[in-house]
Order: sequence, then C-alpha cells, then structure tokens
Amino acid sequence: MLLNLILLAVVLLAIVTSARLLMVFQFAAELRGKKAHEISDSENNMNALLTLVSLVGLFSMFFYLTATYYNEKYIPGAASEHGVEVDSLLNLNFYVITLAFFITQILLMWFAYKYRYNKNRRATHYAHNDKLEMIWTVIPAIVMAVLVLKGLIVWNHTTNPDPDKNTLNLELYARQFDWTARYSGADNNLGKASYTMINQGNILGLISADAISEQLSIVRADSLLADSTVTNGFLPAEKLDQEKTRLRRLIHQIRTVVAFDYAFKSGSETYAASHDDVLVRDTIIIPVNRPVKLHMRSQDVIHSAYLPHFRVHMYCVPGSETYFAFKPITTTKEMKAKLNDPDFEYRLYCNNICGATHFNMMLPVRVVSEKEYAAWLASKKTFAEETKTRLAQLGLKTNFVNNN
Amino acid sequence: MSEITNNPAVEGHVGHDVHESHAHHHGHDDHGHHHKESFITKYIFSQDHKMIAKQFLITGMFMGLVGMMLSIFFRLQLGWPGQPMPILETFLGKWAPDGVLDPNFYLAAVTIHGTILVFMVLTAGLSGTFSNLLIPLQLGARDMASPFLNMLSYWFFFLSSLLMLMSLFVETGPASAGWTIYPPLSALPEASPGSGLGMTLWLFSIIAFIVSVLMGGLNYITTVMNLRTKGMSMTRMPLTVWAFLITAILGLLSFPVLLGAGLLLLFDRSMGTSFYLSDIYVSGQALEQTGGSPVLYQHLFWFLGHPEVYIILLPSLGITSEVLAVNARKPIFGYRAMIGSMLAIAFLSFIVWGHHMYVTGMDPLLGSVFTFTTLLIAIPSAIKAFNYITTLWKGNIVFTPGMLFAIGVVSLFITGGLTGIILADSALDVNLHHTYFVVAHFHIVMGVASMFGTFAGVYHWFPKMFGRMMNKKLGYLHFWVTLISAYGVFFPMHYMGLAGVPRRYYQNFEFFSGFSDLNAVISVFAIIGGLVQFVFVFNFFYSMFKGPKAPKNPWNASTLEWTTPVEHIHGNWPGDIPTVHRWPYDYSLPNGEERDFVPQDEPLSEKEKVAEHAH
Repeated sequence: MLLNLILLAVVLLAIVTSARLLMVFQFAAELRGKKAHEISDSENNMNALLTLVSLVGLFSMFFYLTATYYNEKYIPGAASEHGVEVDSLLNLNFYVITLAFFITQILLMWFAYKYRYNKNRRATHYAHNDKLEMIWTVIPAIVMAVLVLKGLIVWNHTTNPDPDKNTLNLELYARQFDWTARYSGADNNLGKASYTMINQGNILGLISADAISEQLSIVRADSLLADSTVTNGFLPAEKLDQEKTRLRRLIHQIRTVVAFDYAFKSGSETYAASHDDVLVRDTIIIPVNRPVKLHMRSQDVIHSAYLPHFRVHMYCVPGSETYFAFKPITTTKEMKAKLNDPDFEYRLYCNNICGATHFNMMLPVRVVSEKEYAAWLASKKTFAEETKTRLAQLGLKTNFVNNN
Repeated sequence: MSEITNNPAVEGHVGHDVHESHAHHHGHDDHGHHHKESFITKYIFSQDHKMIAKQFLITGMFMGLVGMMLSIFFRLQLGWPGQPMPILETFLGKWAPDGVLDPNFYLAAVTIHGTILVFMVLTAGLSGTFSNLLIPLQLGARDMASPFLNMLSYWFFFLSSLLMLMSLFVETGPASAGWTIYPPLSALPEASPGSGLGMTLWLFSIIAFIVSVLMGGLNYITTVMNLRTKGMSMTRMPLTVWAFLITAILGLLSFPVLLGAGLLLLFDRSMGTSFYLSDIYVSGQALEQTGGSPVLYQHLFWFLGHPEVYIILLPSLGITSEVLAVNARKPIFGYRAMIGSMLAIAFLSFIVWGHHMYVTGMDPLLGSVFTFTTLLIAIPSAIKAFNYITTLWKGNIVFTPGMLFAIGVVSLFITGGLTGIILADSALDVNLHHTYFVVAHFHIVMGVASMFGTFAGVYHWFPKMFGRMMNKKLGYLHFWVTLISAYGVFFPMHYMGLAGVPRRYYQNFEFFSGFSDLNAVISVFAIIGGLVQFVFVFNFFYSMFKGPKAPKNPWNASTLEWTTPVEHIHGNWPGDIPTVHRWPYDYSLPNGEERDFVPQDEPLSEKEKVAEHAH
C-alpha cells in the first residue's frame, strides 16, 4: 500500500516536472522567434531520414522472422492430402503479397524521404492520370482473378473429396472442456444420439435399448426427487425457482426419452448402429492413407475442432452436425523422424472460445498403419458393453446380446 | 460584422434556407455578449458540434486508455504465463490472486478490450469526433442539421461507456465470450460466469451505443445532404467529408441488424426463447430449447461486423487523404477514383460477411461466393494505396506529427490489407481461422491503422479544436515509438498464426514449439507502446491549457474550417458563411504565385476562369 502511494507520488511529480520543463522550452523557443506550427529544416530532415530507417527496420524484421519461423520446424508441411494443395496455394499467395509489400513500402517510404520539404522547390500539381489509374486497377484485378480461381479449385477439392467407400466415419464430440472421439465400429455407421439421453455414463447421449432403460431410470428418479423438493417447498424463493426450472426440464426430457423407448418397442427403430461404436477420450488413433470423415457435435457451447497439421478446422455447433473429410498421409512415426523430434504428436485443439479452460481442451492424435489401427480398435470396449456394465450396477436387465 | 447579412435569397439553397437563417440567428446572438451560456449548456449539455466533438474525443481517449490497460494485463499473462505480477493484483484485486491473472478474467479482458476498442474508441471516438468537428466546418454549415439529436447522440454514447465500465465491477465478472459474444456461450450463465450480469450489461451498453450511432449517423447524412454552403457541390467536398458520409450510411444500414441480434440474444437469455439455442446439455441439465441456431447469430453479427470494419477504417482513410494532401502540398491524387473506391468498398462490405464463417459448417458453395466477393475488395483498396503513394510523389513534404501518422496509416493499411488476401480465401482461411494470423491481420489493418488515422486527425486539427498547438517533439516521440511497437507487437504474430497458435489461449504455448520467447518479446513491445501513449495524453492535456497559441491556418490548408476564427463561436463564422469557388485541393498551382495553396472560398482568378471555359 505504502509502495503504491509512493509510486503514485512519483508519477504525479514526474507529470508536474515535465509540464514545467515543457513550459520552459516553449518560452525559450518563443524568445528565439520560432513558431510552434512551423517545422524546421532539421526536424523535416530528421523525420525524412527516419522513414528510410524504418523501411530498413521493417524489412530486416521481415527477413529475420521469415528465416527463423517460416520453416519445417515451426510449420511442418501438411500431413493430409488436401493440406499439400493448401500449402502450395498459400505459398503462391505469399509470393504475390510479399512482392506487393516490398514494392509499395519502398515507394511510400522512398517518396517520403526524397520529396521532403525544400523551400526552394514547389510541389508538382498533379491531380490525376487516368491511364496510370487504369493500370493499377487492371493489374490487381488480373492477379486477384488468378488467386480466386486457384483458391476456389483448392476449396472444391477440400470440401468435395472424391467419394471413397473405405472412408472411416469418426465423430468428434466436444463439451466444456474435453473431447470424446467416437469410432463407428464394424458397421462404419455412427449410431443415433440425442442430448436428452446424456447422463454421467453416456456423455454423448447415444441411443440404444439399454441406454434408454438406463436413462429412464435415472431421469425418473431425478424428477421424483425434484418434484418432492418443489412440493415440500422448504426452499428460499430463488432456489425454489431453480428447482422448478429443473423439474420442467426433466419432464421435457422424460417425454423425449419415452418417445425413443416407444419407437424401439414398436419396432420402428432398432438403435442397433450404436452397439459397436467405440468411445475414446485419451488419444485419437487414425489409420494412414485412408479418408476420414469427421462428424462434429457439441454438448453445450460452440467449440471448434482444429487439427493444424492436417489443415483441418470446423466448428462444433450444438444442435447440428458439421463435417470435414480429409486423408492423413504421414504417420506420426514418419513425422517424428522428419522433424527429428521424438516427442512429436499431432494434436486436436479447441479453437473457438468456450469458457475458462478453453486453452486446455486438446487431445493427441496419432496416425498409424492400418494394421496397428485395427489391433488397437479391437482392444477397445464397445458402447454396448460399457452400457451393459453400468446397467448391471443399476440393477437393471440388459436387452443386449453380444454376438461375439 | 454588420447585422444579419445572410440573406437566404442570396444563399440560394432551398432547404438550406430555413435552417440557415435560423441557425445564423442563433449564431449571431450567441457570439455576441447578450446571450450568456452557463457552464452546463456550454461544456456539458452542449449542442455545439465543436464541443460535442471534443466530448466524443475525450471520452474516447479515456475508454481507449482503459482498453489499452486491459490489453497490457493480458499481455503480461501471455508473455510470462503463470508468473506472479504484483501490478496485476494492484489493479485487478481478486481477479489476479497473488498477481496471476484468473483464466476467466483473462477472457473477460480480451472481450472488453475488443469491445471498447472497436466500438467506444474507433467508432465513437473516431467518427464521433471528426464527423462532428469537420462536417459542418468543412462544408460551411453553422452546425449539424439537428444539434439536439447530436447532443443526445453523445449522451447515449456516454451511457453506453458507463454501462461497459460498470460491468468491470460486477461480482461474476464482465462479459467474457469474446467481443463477438457468440451464443450459446454468451447466452448461458451456467457455461461461463461472465455470461451472467456482465453480459446483460454488455448488451445494454451496446444497445445504447447503437442508439448513439444511429442518431449521429442520421445527423451526419442530413447535414452533408442539405447544409453544404453555396458552391460546395458533392465533388468539391474534401475526402474527409466523403469518408464520414459513407461511414454514416454504412452505420445506418448495419447497426440495426446488430440491435436485432442483441435483442434476440436477450430474449434467449431471459425469456426462454430459442433463436440461437438448440439441444444443449449444460451443468447436468438438458435445456428445453430446441430448433434455434447459434450460426444464425453469427450471420446477424457479421452482417454488422464486416461493414463495421469499414466504419472504423474509412474515416481514418479520409483523414489520411486530407492530411497527406495538405502536408505534401499537392492535390490528393485521383480524387474521383478515391471517392469511387470508397463507394465500392462500402458496397462490397455488405456482401462479404460470410468470410468470417467459412468453418461454421456453412455450405461450401456459399464459401466460394464469399471468397469471390471478398477478394474483389482488394481492387479498390489497391487503387487507394497507389493513389496515396502517388500523392507523395513530387510533393514538398512537411513532416508534421499529423503527416507522419498519415504516412503510417498508408504503410499499415498496405501491410495489414495484404494478409487479408490470404484470409479472404476460404481454402486458406480454414487453417488460419482464429489463429494469431487473424489477430495480426485485423489489428494492423483496422486497429492500428485506424488508431493512427485518429492520431493524425488529433494532431492536425488540435489547433482548430483548442486554439493551441500540440508539442511537435513529443509528437515525434509518440509517433516513432508507437510505429515501432505496433509493428513489433503484430508483425511476429503472423508467424505464430501460420504455426497454428490459436487466439484467446491463456497459456499452453509450449505445444507450438518455441513461441514462448517470441510471446515475451511481443509483450515487451506492447508495454512500451502502451507507455508511450501516456506521452500523447500528457501532450494533449498540457497543450490544451498551456500550448502556444495557434494561428488561424497553421498548416496553410485550403479547406473551409481554417477560415473560421481561432476562438470558437456557436455558428462558426462571425459574418456570412463562405461561398465555395473551387475544389479543396488547389495546392501548388503553377500560377506563379509565391503562396502554394488557394483557399476554397477564393474566387477563380481571371486566368482560371478562361481555363474553365476552355474545358
């Protein structure tokens, strides 16, 4: 506290002293007959020279940073098929804009220096030149046309990859503040899900007969509890309101779950596609050279699945599903060797502000051979098996018969 | 002056007349000694456009300092993650326990920094100040079309700033969903403490702000359309006024959409509607809302958001045109092309908003369309850049502090504009979206460039505003240190972005090999850049009271504002309002005169008349 006061006093003293000093300088300048609004030759020359210095400084910074950071170590080449195209497009763009950057900055700063004030010279009254202006309209237009065209071609390849029956369907599920990957299993088909099916065990809200029994039992118990809390009413007004809202939400939830139940019992839905789905929360493993179609969903707020090494990025939007397909072409092992970094991992980041620990929402991604991938996946428990275990804990009967 | 000489019949502007004689009547009375203004009507609830301009400027400066301090706080965290900084605790108390910034407050600081700089400083502080000051003065009008609405416009801005500052003191913290406040994060207090009362205040603040912008904009447009003095045709208006006019039209067409977006968000937050919400499970409960779309909000937001970029940039470019021409002692090169490119940019700015949304799951076909329209903007922008450069060619350049900042604007406009070519391309944006590359791009091209335009304007028109000169030497110091630190902060960020470092991360930069050092360097530049702004603030307030007295036309400029007396009077000109005979850029005419400029209100010489007829 005392330190702060002293600091404050020092700052105030500095301000007063500077003001006094400035007044003295100002007075001295007036005595010497200098006018405050006229810029002296020495001031003009100094600033003109500084524009040249700043030009050199700007370019030095550009060269230093480019040499240090624009290379494989910091920006490893794309590890996906479309990413290679993206990188070459990016390089083309960089050539164009770097050239423009150099030409325009040099002209700007050089003219500023060269045409600095000289009382013996008069500026040239030069108001327009249609031909010149036509030139710098047409040239950028042509360059832009080329860049747009090239860009759209790459964009088309990125967003409309050739259909491939072998494509792996993989879901990235986001919530505050972690990721879950869901593999589509043997049928390569992601089972249905609903946010009303979410509970502590079933965080993706997948639907299966067992999951419905589990959810009905949980939600019914919750709503009975909430109902008795509300009707007993020994709560302060604010808490009571919260509890009422909760009850309303639970009732809404029960309705939808009952509807799923009915659909199953009436035979209109089997909800079997989710049985062989595999949920992974520590490391995403994908096979090399096989297209992956990412299906993205979110539980709560907008997140964004960002895989910079693969040049993949797509928002995860609550209430709808988004997609991004890509084909990894470099295994993690190859990348480790290439970068000479034994600790290298590809990573999935969240790249849309999503709350307090947004910065921590990431998962390693490993690209392996098809064989390694298959062996790894086979070692994982399926959703049906996991649900069965939880159901047993609740003392409920399972509908699921394991075919294996 | 003699008695009222401002005969409407002589003035000859229909629509001009009624107001003009009325305003003049007032003007005449006010500057006389009969009608005393109280402190309150002169300094607080003033209806004089010059005073309102100063109110906007000083409020904007204060908000700018708040926004800047917030950026220094989060730069301390980013440069040295997790290291205790006692100064943070001094300023932020419980938001920085033991001097380490709280992650929630980090996001809040980022959010409020962006909001304050974009809206309070570079929209209100820039347009509010210079549109108010220059539109009537440069057009030869005695005041705005509606001085009362003008006063209200300031006070709504004041209210808006007040609400935003209040939100900093809320227990659950200010809004912290990023300045774009995407729902559902901004809609659900369960998802982020900042989405509680802090967000409510944010929304009310912005609603007040929009009211202010609309009242100001209506006034600017009406004034430009109706209150130009005799001879001031549209093509004789200085480019500053053109820029302010186009800016006001942009604001009028786009801000109401933000109002709509904000109101729907308020409904979702408090009335259980589901415009933006669907299928959400948060803090252990499944919400009832289904069917809404958070992406709808983004469409609405960016429909304002992109024109907003030009609402910020165009006034700055207008000021640059004027300051460059005056100090290069040359006409601005390609006057009509400059107007044409501003109009083209303004039109295009309404059909490019989707380039902020390439990775939201929007149809790829739409992405292609937005890529095409966005890259079109490069053409008028290139014209502007080349015209600025040609304006300097064969000039006789006087390096006033204002001129240096104007040259800085051109340099930054080019540097930042060029990286826009990359981000406009949907295929390239995928990997750069929300990275530091974007942060670098928009800070240089719209943040720092517009800030430089504002500074150019302040240094250039300070003598008009306060009748005194600012200190040159401190101005030079301010310019060079700011230029170096601006490039020092934002240029390296391009490289971090290319390596995939996401913005709005609190820490974890070690996952992107080796940017920790660079982050610290950036923070050092940010702190230096921040400190030097206090030199400007000191110079500003010192010169306001103690600076040397300014002559009537210190820069030998030809526009009308310099024909008014140094001492401000309500009504601007003590006698008749001037008549305009020529365009605003008659500098260094080859007419054999010693003087290298001809004021706009000077009648054509015999020679010029002959030349005119010959055309």
